[in-house]
Amino acid sequence: MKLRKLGVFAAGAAVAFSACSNTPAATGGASKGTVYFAIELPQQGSEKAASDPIINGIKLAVKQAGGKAGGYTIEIPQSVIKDDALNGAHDAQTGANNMSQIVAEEKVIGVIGPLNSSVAKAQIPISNEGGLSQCSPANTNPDLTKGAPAAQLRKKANNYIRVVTTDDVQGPAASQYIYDTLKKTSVYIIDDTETFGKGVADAFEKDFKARGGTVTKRDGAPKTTQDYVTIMTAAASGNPQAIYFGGVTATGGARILLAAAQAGLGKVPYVGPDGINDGSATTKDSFLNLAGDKAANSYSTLAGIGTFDGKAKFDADYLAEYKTAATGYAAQGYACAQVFLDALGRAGATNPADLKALREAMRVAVTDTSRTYTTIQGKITFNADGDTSQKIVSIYSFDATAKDWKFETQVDYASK
Amino acid sequence: MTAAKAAVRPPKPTGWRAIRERMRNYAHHHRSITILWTMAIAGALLIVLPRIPPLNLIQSANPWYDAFANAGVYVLLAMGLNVVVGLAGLLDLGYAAFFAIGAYTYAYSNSPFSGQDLPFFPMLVVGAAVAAVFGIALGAPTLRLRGDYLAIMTLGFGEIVPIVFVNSDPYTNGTNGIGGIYRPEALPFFGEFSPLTSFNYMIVMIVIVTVAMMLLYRLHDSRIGRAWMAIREDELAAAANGINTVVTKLLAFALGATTSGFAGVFNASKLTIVSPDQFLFAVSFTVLAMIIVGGMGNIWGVAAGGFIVFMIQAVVLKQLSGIAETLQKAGLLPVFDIGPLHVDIAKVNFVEYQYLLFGIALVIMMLKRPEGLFPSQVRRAELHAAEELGPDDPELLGALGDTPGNDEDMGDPAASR
Amino acid sequence: MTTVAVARRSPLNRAARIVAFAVIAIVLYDIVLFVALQQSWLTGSKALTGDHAFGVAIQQTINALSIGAIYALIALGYTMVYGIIELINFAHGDVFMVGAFLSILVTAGIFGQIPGADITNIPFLILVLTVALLLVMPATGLLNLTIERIFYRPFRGGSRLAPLITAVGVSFILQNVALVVVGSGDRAAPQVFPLNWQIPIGDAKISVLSIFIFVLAVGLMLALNTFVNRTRLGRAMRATAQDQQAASLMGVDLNQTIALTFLLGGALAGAAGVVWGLRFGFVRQDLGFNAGLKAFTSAVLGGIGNINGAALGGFFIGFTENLASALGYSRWSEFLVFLILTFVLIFRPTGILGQQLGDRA
Repeated sequence: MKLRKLGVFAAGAAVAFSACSNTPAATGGASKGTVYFAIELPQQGSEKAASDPIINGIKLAVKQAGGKAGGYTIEIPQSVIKDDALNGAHDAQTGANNMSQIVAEEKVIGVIGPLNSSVAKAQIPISNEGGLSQCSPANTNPDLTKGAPAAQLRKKANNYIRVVTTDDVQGPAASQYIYDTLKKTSVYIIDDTETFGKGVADAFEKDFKARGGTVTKRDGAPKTTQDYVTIMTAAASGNPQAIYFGGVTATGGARILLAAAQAGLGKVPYVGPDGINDGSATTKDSFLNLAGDKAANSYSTLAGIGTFDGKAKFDADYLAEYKTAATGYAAQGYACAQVFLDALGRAGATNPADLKALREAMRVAVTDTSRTYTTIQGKITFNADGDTSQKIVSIYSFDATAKDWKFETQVDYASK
Repeated sequence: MTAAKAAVRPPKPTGWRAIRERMRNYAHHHRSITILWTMAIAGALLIVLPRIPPLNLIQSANPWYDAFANAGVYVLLAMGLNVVVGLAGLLDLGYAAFFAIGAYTYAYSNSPFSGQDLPFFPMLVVGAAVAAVFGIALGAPTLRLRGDYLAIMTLGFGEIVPIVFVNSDPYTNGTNGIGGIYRPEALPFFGEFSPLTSFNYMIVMIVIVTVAMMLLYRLHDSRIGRAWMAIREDELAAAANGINTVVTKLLAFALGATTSGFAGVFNASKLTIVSPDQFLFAVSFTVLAMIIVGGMGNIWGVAAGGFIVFMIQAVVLKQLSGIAETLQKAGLLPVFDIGPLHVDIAKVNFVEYQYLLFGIALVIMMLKRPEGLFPSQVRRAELHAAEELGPDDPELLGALGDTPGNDEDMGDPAASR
Repeated sequence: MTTVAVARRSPLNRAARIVAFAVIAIVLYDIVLFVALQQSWLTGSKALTGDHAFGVAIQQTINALSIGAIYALIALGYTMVYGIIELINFAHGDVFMVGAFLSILVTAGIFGQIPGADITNIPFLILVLTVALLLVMPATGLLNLTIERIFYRPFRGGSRLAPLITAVGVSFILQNVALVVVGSGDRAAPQVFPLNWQIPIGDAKISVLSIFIFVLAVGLMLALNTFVNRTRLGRAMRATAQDQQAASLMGVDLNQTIALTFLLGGALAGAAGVVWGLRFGFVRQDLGFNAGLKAFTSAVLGGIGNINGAALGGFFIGFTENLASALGYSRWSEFLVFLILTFVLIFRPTGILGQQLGDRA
């Protein structure tokens, strides 16, 4: 009890406490013991810019909860923060290896990640068999949770949830915004030929055509492309009123914009998914940083809520803790941790006999479809597939004075 | 060269040396049995070691088994590439393409994408055979080219294959890849294959590696093996001595592709997803680094090289941050500042430096120890001159020319280096 | 003496022939593109009207010349090195990448020092570009030379496999040092050259930058050609390429000649790096791999070891890629390039112009 109070009152003491309980001698004891939240995100290059806010968000949530839930002490040691990047970019094989290591660490009762859907496809079969709760703050590929493709990834009961909505919502949200709000009826679509980029561009194209819009051309340029100017000159020949890019900054988001400006498409709205919503112009490697003033007509979507009660407090807390503004999926990382903390509270209440039982109790608690979680993003529930009830996509535009993304509006697809 | 200097000193006949000599003699005469024994011992070690300190302190047994099974994939790849590069002297930089072909073959035969569910073990052979066919198809027109053209040609092929897989959506499911691949059927005595108990995968891998090693050694010691080495040393001379160089080189190429195909099938069945981005140039490069470090031309050497390099890549570099953090907590590893530089070793992402380390290792090995960490006897013979090998040594027959460092118009290789 | 006399008599004729050939090729390409753009079954989108297609075709041709010039500049380094020491210098593409990064450093440095610098100020622009080229070209040249000295020279006269593998290793070292130093993301390159400088030709707007890149590249190639064919050192290079031993016996300093080759190749790659930044506005650490591969393909296409061939090959690859992208098949453009490489290697390994600088197949 004494130790618990210390943990609540002082973060430093909590660290000291957990350091003690980490030693093999301290199993059992007054607290129910130490458990880990594992993190699995790519941490190299431009993907590091997207992952760091998530990790910070998770750590912030755990810290604000006093590092405890359900009578357990929660730690996130470096050894369970895994990097699935290889040679500067995410790698499915590495992600799978990491997941085997995480699943085998019995103190881990939940894993937050990954960033990329292609990595998730290699990981879910492993975490599923291990009965380990997994919460992704950023996976948006529909195949991970819906229909036959998702069923093929799972042998046991579902263990995977995500706090962001899917590409089949994010793509149409951009399409709706371009067609209804920006009043543009023809669009040029280009993707980066990767899982995420192509998927979201496909969803966009389908919706845009369904709305009666014209697609002047659909093209794809792998990230190794050299000459984007030619591609955009070809794009300009179709006189599109808008450009939609499916992909992330690392695979060409800013390069295509620069080339578009050279090809005479500089004044045309340039819209992209969350992959280009990766921080302000001062964030290294971010879209806005690379695009400079050419980002003037840029818009991006974020598969999550853009403004919410307590956003100001969250931003302030985050800033105080990390001396940098919360960007990208920081709030989603925070939300994942909140869901886990809440679930651990309920799982702990069932007094599981050992860590193995706790992991299963945790999985049951996390995927409980009747539970309404109160998170930083508002009240959310998860359906049997593990998809969030919150199907909100936020639209951002470029704010030239702040040199940052400015929240425009959000579209709620929950009722649709 | 330090090695050359060492050779000048007469060998000291000690007890250990005598034992080694006898073991080597035995190994020469009973190659397959030696491999069986060695692999049995290695397998037993791989099973036991993760359960005892220090390994079990780093992570529990299953991730070790998992890593060993994955390492086996690279050991196979290294042994296959060794035939092409190490034995026949053909630089193949698109080796990952055959790995991809093996993997996709299994994905087609065992996934909801194609609706097929064929048994694993026969598919192992089929996948390898398909890879071999592609190897021959690529090799037949290109093996007439000289070595460096072949390198660039295979590099191009290695780039083409993923592009085709990415852009042929109806046939390959494009960039998403084929997911939900079925795992192999349960084994008698060992039970189901599962990601949680990678033990079965490891056992199967050990068997595959053992069989592959036995076959490769048979070939290595045969007429074909000697022909490969003859071609490596001097293609013109080999041709003049009646070796059909095109067919022999093609065989090396096909065999390399076959081994890679085995690895591909196994990997697909283990990872349960294949996608084009798993087979980029980085894979070919990693395997190349493995055989260089291990010792080109020596089957045991490259197998060890593959294993060691993979374990460094997959486990050691990953665990370093965790170990550093533990040390920090124990107060053994200070965080300090050097001028503006803030040094916190636990925060360093060691994995990020992986390819830099590989590149440096590759260059240093080529410059300072081209025979690798575990050199083949041929290489050793070259560096230790005549005094170590008897005239009746079988290895000498294929190796009277010398390995890198020979050219028609330059003399002694040691002098030229 | 006779060769010199021949060389002195023909250049005008030869130059006229080359220019004529180039003009015909460009016009032909323009016509092909003009026709192709009007076929909706081919482009998979709405067919362009005649006027519009004409403008786009011209614009794309200029784009092709511009990227082709960059490939050609890099290809020259490959071809010269191969011509002299029969080594595929895999690290050459990465030297280009380093050049592009250095160019950022220089241009951003100058920009950073002069607040509010007017980039439409022509003298200032010339100053920036000159300084960038003068600093970057020697730097990458020296880098290439150092690579040769440390990593390739120990293998001289030895087997071909060992230096080849070393070159792959050096390529990875350069790439990953860049990864550690600058990270794996893109780095924005200051687009010093005003992009709105365009010459309108009918519907088309021809960017002055593209023309500048093309002219600069051709100028450098001509300079190189003159150097190789007209100077003592150039003659030493050609002699070394033909027969190292004989050249050595004739008093050619092999080490010096080979070093010079690497220096020149590296400098040209550096120039390519500078114009790359101007043109595309970004640089990343793995840029050199694909660009290098394409440049090497160019060199092979033209006939490796052949300097004119490399230039021709560079433009050929540039046009090939351009054609794929212009018609909306950019997904397949790399495939097309490597397919060409495959066919050339299988059916005509000596390339279009054949190997001039030495052939010891």
